[in-house]
Amino acid sequence: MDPPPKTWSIHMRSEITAKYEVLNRVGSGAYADVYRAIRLSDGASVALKEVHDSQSASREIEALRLLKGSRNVVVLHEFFWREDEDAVLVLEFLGTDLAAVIGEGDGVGVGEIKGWMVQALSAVDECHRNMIVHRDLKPSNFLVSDDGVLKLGDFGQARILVESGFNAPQENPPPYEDDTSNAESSTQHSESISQLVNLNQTAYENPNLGTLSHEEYFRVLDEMKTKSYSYDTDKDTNIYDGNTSCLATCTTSDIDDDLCKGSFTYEAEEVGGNELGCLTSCVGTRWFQAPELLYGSTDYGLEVDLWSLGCVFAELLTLKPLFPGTSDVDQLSRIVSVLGNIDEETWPGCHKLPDYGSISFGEVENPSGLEACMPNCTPDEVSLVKRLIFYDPAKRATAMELLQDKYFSEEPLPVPISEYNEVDSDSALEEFGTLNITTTGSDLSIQIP
Amino acid sequence: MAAESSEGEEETKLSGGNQLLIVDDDLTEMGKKAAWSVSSCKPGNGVSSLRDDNLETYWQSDGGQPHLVNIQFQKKVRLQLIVLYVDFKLDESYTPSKVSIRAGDGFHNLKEIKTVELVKPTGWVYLSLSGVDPRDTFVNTFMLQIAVLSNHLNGRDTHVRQIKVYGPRPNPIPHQPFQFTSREFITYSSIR
Repeated sequence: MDPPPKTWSIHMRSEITAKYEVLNRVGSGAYADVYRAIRLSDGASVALKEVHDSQSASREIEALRLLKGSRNVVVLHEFFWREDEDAVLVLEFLGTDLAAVIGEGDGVGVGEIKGWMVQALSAVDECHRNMIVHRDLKPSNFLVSDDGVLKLGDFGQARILVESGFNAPQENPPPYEDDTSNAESSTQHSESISQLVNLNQTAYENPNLGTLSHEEYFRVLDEMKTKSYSYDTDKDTNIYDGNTSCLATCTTSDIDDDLCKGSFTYEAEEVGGNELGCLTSCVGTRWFQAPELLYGSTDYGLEVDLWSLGCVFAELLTLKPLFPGTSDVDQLSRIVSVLGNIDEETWPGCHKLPDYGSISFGEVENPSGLEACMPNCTPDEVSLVKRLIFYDPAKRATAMELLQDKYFSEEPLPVPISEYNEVDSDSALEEFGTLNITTTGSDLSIQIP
Repeated sequence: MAAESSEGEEETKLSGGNQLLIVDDDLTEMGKKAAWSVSSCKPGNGVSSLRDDNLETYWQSDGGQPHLVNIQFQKKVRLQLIVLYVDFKLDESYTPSKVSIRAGDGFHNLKEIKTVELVKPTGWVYLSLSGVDPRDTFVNTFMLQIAVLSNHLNGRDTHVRQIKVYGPRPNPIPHQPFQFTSREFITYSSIR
């Protein structure tokens, strides 16, 4: 039987429209479009995320499956995925995000900011406990519900650093190598994906079979991965996730602003103990990228998220991006002008980074320091960000350590979630006591006791 | 010898090279204010070798031509002169033979402003950024790119030992008939 024809609109997919009423598109990015929808069974608002990249979809599904039940991670209700169709993830709908909060500017109390920080740290801690590196932490990926619950979303670039039953080889072969063994493994790889999607498709087409449960789906996925996924390839290219710096994997528009026009690959010499082999350095959003990524590292760890978190916190406190670079070199240049020169003293092992020899900055005799970037912040606020913004990844405080920081136990305390929509306790209205407000026709009457 | 190329930028042939670096007093070295990057490098022969004031060390590329040196400034700067130290006697087939200078706001809009052919150079090679029009004595730019298009003897990778970038001093010392150097003399040397 021929596969069903490719449908170009989420509105035309019967398996989705049978369960959801698609309302409108609320956002779109390089790899996905997000729609708001109503679940027909109970009228609940949900977000339908149509992911155009199969690897991104599988990463997001796997990460959210592992994080199921986490209070500060977006909930994945179900997903639809069959051959020749984009994956559609059904996620809980959240009205706004931290980027919008920052954009609105003034009027956000310190207690509220602390509350969001605590929740952001809890989300990242949950990821890191499960050995998931998010790799794209930024304000717009921290979603906020109407009742003030902050949830981390967009796991399309996430990687699970340790996973049972998936033993990738210690070294990745060079990209594009014309080798019969590679060709064989890539054939297996594509077969396994189609097997998986076919299996899901069969479930949709055969009413007796019913839809695959999450457990069955992932059991099959894990089996196939163990058997066939010899190497993890990166988005939109057949470049293995690793062996490449940003220069090799970024889009044409990124290359325009990058070190040089052209595509370069780097041999990843030190894979280290990471079972997954090398990672790609071209991840995340430039302003929030850790310096090891900007220098082309392929064996980084969870610490890249901690740097990003520091940048997010600084932006939350100052309402301005901490390092708004216009290119990768400019990004590093801004970091160096604030933190000072990068050398073996400030960052042991920095000379081993792939692009370390390719980028140089003039000696910074008087780095401005984070204090200059956060002029209206208290010493405690600056100190909190400083614990995350270190060149040396090993020196960055973990999310769990930061949750114990005295900053969160001092007045004003983090606002409890239940109070997010209430008037601030230090509001000027408090001194008036209770107000009696009555309206008669077009008149408004306020009585002050 | 200078010839107009089809693009309108200047193409020059330079031979020889100076053993001593001599630059006008009213120029200042601007490279220390920039971020420097290269398209590729051999480990141990990176971009820092171009800026270490040591003629024994060199940047060695490690990739396909053209080999690029990118000089990026945070603010727009006036640049008047580029000086390279290259040495055919030491580097032979690694010595650049054709060099292109480009300028712009970033990678997206670089324009070639000069192409220079080097003939067995040994020493400091001066590349003026002035245009054909004598009034164009400098370029006003965020970024400069030096591209090594080819090497002597058809060499693949390149060696460059030093690069200096000069621009006009913000407040040049006025030219005096007598070389007064004290602050008092300079203060009263012109009508205010």
